[in-house]
Amino acid sequence: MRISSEQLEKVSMSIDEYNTIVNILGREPNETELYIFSAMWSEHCGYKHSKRLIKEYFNVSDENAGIVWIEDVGIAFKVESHNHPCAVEPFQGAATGIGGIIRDIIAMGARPVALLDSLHFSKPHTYIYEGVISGISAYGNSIGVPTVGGEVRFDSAYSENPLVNVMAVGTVKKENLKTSKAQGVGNSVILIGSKTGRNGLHGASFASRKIDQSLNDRPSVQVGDPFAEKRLIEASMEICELDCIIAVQDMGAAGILSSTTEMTHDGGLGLDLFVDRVPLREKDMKPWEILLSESQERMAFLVKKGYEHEVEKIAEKWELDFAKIGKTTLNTEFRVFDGEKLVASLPLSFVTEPPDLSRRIEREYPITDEISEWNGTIENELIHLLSNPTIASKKSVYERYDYTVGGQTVKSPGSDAAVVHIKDSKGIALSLGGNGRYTRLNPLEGTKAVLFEACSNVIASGGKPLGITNCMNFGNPEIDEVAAQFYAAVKGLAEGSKLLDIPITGGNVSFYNESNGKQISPTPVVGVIGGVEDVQRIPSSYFVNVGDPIYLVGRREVPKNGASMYRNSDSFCKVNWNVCAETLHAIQQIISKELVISAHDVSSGGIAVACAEMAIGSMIGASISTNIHPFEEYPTRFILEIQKGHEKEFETEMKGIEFSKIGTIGGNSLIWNGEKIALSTLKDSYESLEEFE
Amino acid sequence: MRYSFVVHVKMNPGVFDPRASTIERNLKKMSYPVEDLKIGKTFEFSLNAESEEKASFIVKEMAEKVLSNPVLEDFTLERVEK
Amino acid sequence: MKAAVVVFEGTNCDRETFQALKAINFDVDYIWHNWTSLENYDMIVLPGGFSYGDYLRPGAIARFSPVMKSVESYTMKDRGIVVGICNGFQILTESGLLPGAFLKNKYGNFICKMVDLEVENRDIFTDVGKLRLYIAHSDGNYTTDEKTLDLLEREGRVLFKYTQNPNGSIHSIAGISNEKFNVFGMMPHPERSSLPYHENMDGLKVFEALKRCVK
Repeated sequence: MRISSEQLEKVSMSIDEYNTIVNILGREPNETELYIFSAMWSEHCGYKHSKRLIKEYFNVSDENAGIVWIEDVGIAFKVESHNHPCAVEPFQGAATGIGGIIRDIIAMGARPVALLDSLHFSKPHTYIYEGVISGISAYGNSIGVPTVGGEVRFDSAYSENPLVNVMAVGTVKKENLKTSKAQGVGNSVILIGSKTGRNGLHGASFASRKIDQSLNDRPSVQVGDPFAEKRLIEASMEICELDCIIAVQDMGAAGILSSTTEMTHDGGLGLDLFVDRVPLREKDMKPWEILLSESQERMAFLVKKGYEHEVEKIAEKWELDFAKIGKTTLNTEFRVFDGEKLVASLPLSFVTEPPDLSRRIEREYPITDEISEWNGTIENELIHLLSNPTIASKKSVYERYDYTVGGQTVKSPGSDAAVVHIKDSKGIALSLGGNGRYTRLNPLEGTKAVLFEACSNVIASGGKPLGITNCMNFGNPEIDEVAAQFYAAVKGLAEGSKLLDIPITGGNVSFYNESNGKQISPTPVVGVIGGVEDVQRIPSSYFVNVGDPIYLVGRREVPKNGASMYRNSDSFCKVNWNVCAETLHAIQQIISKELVISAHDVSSGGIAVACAEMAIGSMIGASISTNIHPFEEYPTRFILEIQKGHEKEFETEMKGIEFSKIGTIGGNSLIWNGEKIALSTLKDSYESLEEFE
Repeated sequence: MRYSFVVHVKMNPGVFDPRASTIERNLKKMSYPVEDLKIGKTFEFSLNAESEEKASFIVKEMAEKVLSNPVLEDFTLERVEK
Repeated sequence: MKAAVVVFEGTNCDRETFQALKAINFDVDYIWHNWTSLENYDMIVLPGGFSYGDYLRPGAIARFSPVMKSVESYTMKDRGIVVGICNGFQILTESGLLPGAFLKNKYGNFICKMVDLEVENRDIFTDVGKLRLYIAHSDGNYTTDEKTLDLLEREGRVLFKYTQNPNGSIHSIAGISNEKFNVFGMMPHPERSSLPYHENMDGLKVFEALKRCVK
């Protein structure tokens, strides 16, 4: 078979890649084999532009999700993107995005206990905005996993390309922790879940929302089935208790193909796959269609030979399809059978290891350490910032998510970090966020700032950061500027992780977030999990006691940050990250000593916005007297309410860390250097993001 | 003049509708042996227009742009006598 | 005393409902939707969730589960009480064990938030005047015909009402009982306010009051 350029384009493969395949195989690949490579070597599955860099800088495992431990309870967590499907069909894109990340968690043998999402749109109340929020609501609520936190940010950079990053967290007992690595020859590859159809195929035509003429060309949009997912979660929990389960893998990108090949390759084995045994929903599906289908709500289990019926019983109970579709073999071949007919035969490692296309391009990004000063009134600017959709309260969004199902939610959305109870008195604090303004201006320093922000959130809610997950959202990596941004961001996150001594346990990369040449801002989204010693002894997020002193902890005089929300210039601020790390450590210690009544990390809009948010939350005002810049942004700064009478104790503990007493709680206004602003005015601005009728 | 229409919106044949398949499966369990169950939405309404042709044009546009999601759904429209 | 938590396909709130019942000293079992022996239980709870995905109507398919036949005969026996929470309440109305039906929330979307409730029936909730509980639903808009509504009010069968109606429910009704006062339904979630680390423990008061109704 001589390959034509049309055929190459159909499978989105370059001529170089094709020639590599021919050289290694010593022959031309057949149609099925060609599709296998097109899927496994796509950016979507193969991560050609990122895999090597991630491996080198992040030191993550190959498992489905990262894991940290709260005593003997494993906390599995990961964040993933579903950006492109949300641009085409926002509701189903968001819904199936949740489905996918949840399955990554159950693949660890963990029960999902929380969801968070980081959403980036151009502006509120667009079709995409409504669709995504409705989709998250419909799917997340239906499967009974609480959506406890996250963020929604707005910037024109995302007008054609929304970012929808979803993080899932689950719990697993040590003895039930599952791996994705296959072991043992002759063991059975079992598929359970929904039937397989043509979903996700013809992916190349996914880019636009145009209505195609022919039925065959219409992109096969996946419709999420949260009821099936719920049954899959429960069935998987029961299945993972069985001793005969060797490995688990969820079916996401390139479905059956990638999940089964990765499982066996990681275990150093070979795989025989029988596509005729896959339960199908549509007629006349070709072997490659069955292999590549991205039909939702399916999982793969590697089961000890002879024990398949134990899994089948559970699948039947939960009304899920069950099929033995393959077995592990001794050699490292990947063979696909359609009945008796062998339709593909490839070396397994070749399939799962695409060529490396990562590039290391260095760029310098401007930094300034010129100190920022403020003279003047703050009311107008404060109102302006509080009503900015990125800062404004997202109550109208998160009240559409069930955030208390499961009965384990301790701190709900609207706080710095969500807190979820785990066992006895212990819990976890969760934060997920990105900041396109920061990372566009300086991908290296900006990414560190995003990481330190997530850690600050966790600490402000009473947690001790234990692990990091990340989703790298970027434009087209073939463009030098984007490749440079990505390289800088990876380095930034790795440096930050090292400085804080918190491991990066896993994550995801999403490239090609572009439209008509317009690239999104480089937007690394970072999730941090922290351990909470006692969920009943964590600071409040809002002012509590009239008369308590208010402190700013962290740098007082800060440089002009071109990425601050009230400022637009082209230099990021110069940051002393060592001092920031020390500040985080000190805050964590002081909170654990229970001297802190309420705490809030200072982020967008600076200390004035932070104080306003704390006042609005409890409708208790404050009197602030300070010449610290009210709106400038700089990492690791906190507003703390200290128990009256314990100031000396607190200040002694803060030795070596910059801090400043800035005011006292009381009244029903926010008084800033004598300027009195009614809390009701602030509240109206802050709650201006309306509900969609 | 006043014209009355009925617009039926259904999922495209290639799209899997989990609601329909769940309901079909459970109806069978209750001994109602249905096959090929499909769920749709029906919109009945009237509108004023200069002519039947103009009315149909407006309704077709409304059905395409608003009442249905072309990525997932298809529709039929018919004029009815009130 | 023994309590049963019925689990349908798609039920989500079973585990925390189980914990709440344990917290008030019930001996609790989970009951699968196709089991039928319920005689030993003093309280049967149908918890919240999305049984069958809410794909047809909330509760419309679950009400045909084998266990519901047993629930029905249980209610005719003066044996104990049945409590439906959220989706459980919807299953009870679909099966006719409680009157009325549910429409989509008046203001469109799913709502999750703490709400203030005014207790209407002080015979059952003897020491409680107000409650704060979570609601989390998209089809919580309770409705019924004039005649039934009148009966509910006159016979003291309205358990509590929303202080600020979040979903359009007729007369702001948030919970009701049947004529015999052995079947109860409520949209708010008492189990989410029953542990020390929850925002409050008003939910325990609800369960305790219901426990006292078991003869």
